[in-house]
Amino acid sequence: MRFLNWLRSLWANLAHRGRVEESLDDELRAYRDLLAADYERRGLSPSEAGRAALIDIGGLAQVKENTREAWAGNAILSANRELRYSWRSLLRSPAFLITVVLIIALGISANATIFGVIDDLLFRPPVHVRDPERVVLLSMAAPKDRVGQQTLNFPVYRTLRGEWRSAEFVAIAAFSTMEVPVGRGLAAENVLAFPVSASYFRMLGVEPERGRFFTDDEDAEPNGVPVAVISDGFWTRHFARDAEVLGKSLEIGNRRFTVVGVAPNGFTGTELGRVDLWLPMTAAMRPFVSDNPNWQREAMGTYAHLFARVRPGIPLADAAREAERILAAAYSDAWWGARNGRTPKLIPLRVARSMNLGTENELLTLLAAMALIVLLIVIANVASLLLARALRRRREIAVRLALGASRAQLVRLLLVESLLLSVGSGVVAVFVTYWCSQAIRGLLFGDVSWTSTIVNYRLLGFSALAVLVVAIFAGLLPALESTRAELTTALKAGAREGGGQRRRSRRTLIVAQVALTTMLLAGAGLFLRSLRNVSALKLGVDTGRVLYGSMYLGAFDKRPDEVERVTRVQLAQVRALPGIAYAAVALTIPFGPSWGADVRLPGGDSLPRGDGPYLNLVGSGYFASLGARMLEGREFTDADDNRSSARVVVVSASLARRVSPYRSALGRCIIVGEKGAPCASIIGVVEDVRRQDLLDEAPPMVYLPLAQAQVLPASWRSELYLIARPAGDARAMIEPMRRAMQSAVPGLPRATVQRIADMPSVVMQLRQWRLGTVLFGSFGVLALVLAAVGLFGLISYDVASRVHEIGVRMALGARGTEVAGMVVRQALTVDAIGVVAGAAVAIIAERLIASLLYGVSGHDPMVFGGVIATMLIVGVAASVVPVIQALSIDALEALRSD
Amino acid sequence: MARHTPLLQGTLDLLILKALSLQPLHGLGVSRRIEQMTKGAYVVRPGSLFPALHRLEEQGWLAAAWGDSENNRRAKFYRLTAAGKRQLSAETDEWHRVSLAMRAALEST
Repeated sequence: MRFLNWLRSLWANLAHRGRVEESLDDELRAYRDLLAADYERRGLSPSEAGRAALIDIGGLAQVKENTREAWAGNAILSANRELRYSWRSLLRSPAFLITVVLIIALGISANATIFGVIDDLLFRPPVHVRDPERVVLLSMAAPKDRVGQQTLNFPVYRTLRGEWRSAEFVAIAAFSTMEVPVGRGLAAENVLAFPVSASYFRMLGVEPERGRFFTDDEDAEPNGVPVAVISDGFWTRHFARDAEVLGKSLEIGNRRFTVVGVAPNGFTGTELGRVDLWLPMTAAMRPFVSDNPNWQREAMGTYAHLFARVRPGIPLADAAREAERILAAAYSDAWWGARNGRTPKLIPLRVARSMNLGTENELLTLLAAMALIVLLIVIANVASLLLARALRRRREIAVRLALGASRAQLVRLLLVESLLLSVGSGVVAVFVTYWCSQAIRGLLFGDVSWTSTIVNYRLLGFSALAVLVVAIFAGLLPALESTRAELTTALKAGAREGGGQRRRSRRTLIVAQVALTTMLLAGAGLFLRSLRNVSALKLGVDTGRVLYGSMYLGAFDKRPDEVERVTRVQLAQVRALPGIAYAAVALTIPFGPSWGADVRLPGGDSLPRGDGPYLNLVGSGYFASLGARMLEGREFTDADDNRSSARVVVVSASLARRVSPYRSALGRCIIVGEKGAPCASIIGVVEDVRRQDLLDEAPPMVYLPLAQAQVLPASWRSELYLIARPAGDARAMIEPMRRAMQSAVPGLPRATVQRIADMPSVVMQLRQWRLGTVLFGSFGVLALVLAAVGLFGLISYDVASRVHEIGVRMALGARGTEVAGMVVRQALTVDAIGVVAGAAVAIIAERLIASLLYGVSGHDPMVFGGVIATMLIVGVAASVVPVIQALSIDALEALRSD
Repeated sequence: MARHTPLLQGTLDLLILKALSLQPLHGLGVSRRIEQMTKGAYVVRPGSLFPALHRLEEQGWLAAAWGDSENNRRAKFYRLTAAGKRQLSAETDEWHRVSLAMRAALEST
């Protein structure tokens, strides 16, 4: 009942505002008239009576305002009024408006962009997977391992599939997607295939969009049926969404796989990256993943991921213990024996997916923290800008207070203003975020298939929250500070004095801002140094300038001799290309696969096999193509690369040291392979070349001419690489080289040609520092600009509010340099306090990022020196204009004004 | 002039309800009646009177209508509604309880 009444009044107040106001006017007029009539009755003249009545009432406007405040819905109306007022007053200072909106928008989009990345990589469940939290990856981990050894093998899968009660389904899948050749000749392409067991789709609980997934028969041991499930994207790209796609066949290598189903749009299963097709493990393992004919029986090698869906209600730890019991009972062989205290550990799919991305959670967490710091800087900056603006309006505020506005009303008015600014900025921020996210997704995460679109509800919700936080925190302090004015001082003093306390709050804000900026710049510097350290590593290969080309000839059952013949034809074509300086053929390349080898001295035992020695078979010009320096001797020529020529080898520097520690290894004879193999003399020593890891020291390597490669089983030589060093820009030669390889022999699969720097394994290894440098760098620059703006604002405001004082000083004979010194000193004091505080915090917080750096200490003097110098320069630069302002003060005029 | 006592928080509403319990009054009438009832201790200024009247009206305890005053001027008259009467008796009881308790507390030794 009361509520109905209230609603009715609310409606009347909002919809019939005019009538309600009129009624209030009438009511108050009647009150005044009645009062005046009283006075008249007591003998006053009509005009005296009217005046006396008005005095009694004590301000009609005030009474009206008080009454309005009692009305239902008044908050809405006054907010509306304040909004319009704020809007008009903001429009009157467009420079301020644009500056603040830009600052807030950049701060919010920095946070929203990072939020988007983290949200998608770490918190979005894989699409189309039922109850993804019960899907786990099985790894073998020691108690202290966070992740452990993630690859297992087929026999372990078979054992667990049969006995593991805690798991509803167990599935095996390749370690990662692999490129496989589809078609031949001009129409050939390479696609990303993912061999899985038939149970994989059941385990994930996904339903096909068309057709069906694999049956158990199609994945039966030892050799499954060549069928394929294609992704929605591949269906579009390759088949133009042909409705009759089921039953069509794909020529993969020299086999034809029949399409039996299409996966739903966006489904990538356990992978984060794109998948084009899924193949039954038993049909596709050979030759695409392994050439080992015994892969289904030998438990020694590990090459595949094991996934399981744990039954509801069973804790992961219990399920892991059950798996350990089963495996311990089933295996007593070398694999189980070599587990070194490692036991099964179940890692939830969400975690497992992002693990191999090269973006450790620590890095993402750190970036999120940095984005928050940017937001804090933005808040401090905007707060100080709003404070300055509020102080300029001190007279207006004082007049309003004098006229009876309550402090609460004024605070509300100023908060409405900051809310209006923040909301506007939020809208701008959405566009900026879209642009930034697109850039980051493209530049740094080209290999990820994102779960969600850039702009989604979570991102908008997050941005809205950020808007609110900025509005409240940036608006509250200026609002409270500026309305605290003691009435008379503000009115009397004008805009000159009476602001000591406020200037202090503003100065504190700027100091905080400088400190936070210093921290960000230090972080950016440390990451940049790490990236440069990593890039400057002597890898033995010029990754940015060397192209490699490969073709899946082995998948076509070409004999090793045939593979070698085709590759050499291709080599001749590539060498003939204008713009190619060197080219060579090789069994493998840096960051590619690798083969271990036994190396021994005649009459001696083989060198201990630790990490290496590793073997590579190469043609003439290999080291020149890589850009690896020959330390001694020479590299192979065409004359060496011949079955009948004298046996020769080239060794890496570290192998040379082991073979011949005290004198040159040149001319020494070593045996590569079995004891009875012929001795080959060392004709060259080459600098160490990285094998797979950018950071690890390169292991010892031995190189043989390709034609003398009897040491390897023939089946290992089913794939060869071409390697080429263009004279100019490597990227421009990619397509010519690919065409040259393709045209060498008709009916070949598609060739892959790319820079070594663009190999996925290299990109992944560098991502951490690239991401850190790019994001820290942009945050740092943003913060630097904001700090400069903040300092400039503070100093120039100071000068403006001390015109009088400076005028007096100049009138008393202060020289221009003294005035300038005073202004700069003030800027530098604020700056220096902030820099020292920021550097101190950064040094203390160094531990947090130490593990993410490379080759640089968390308190690197170069970095900190550079940051401090930058910040001081910014401090001086920010005071240039204020100094000019101060110097142009005319003493007489300053004294005369006010 | 009579000594003015500051109004206790919440007493203004009760005084207004009480003032209107006998007959409908316009704004000035309400303030006169309160002055009279409290023997001049309370003088309600329009700055607090009108907000209170409007609030009580919105709460449904008062109803208002335009009518003619004693000397034939138009004025807005407030009267107690049924809900207002209930509210008056509830608040009166509450007030008695509070003042009894306060008296007991202040006279205890």
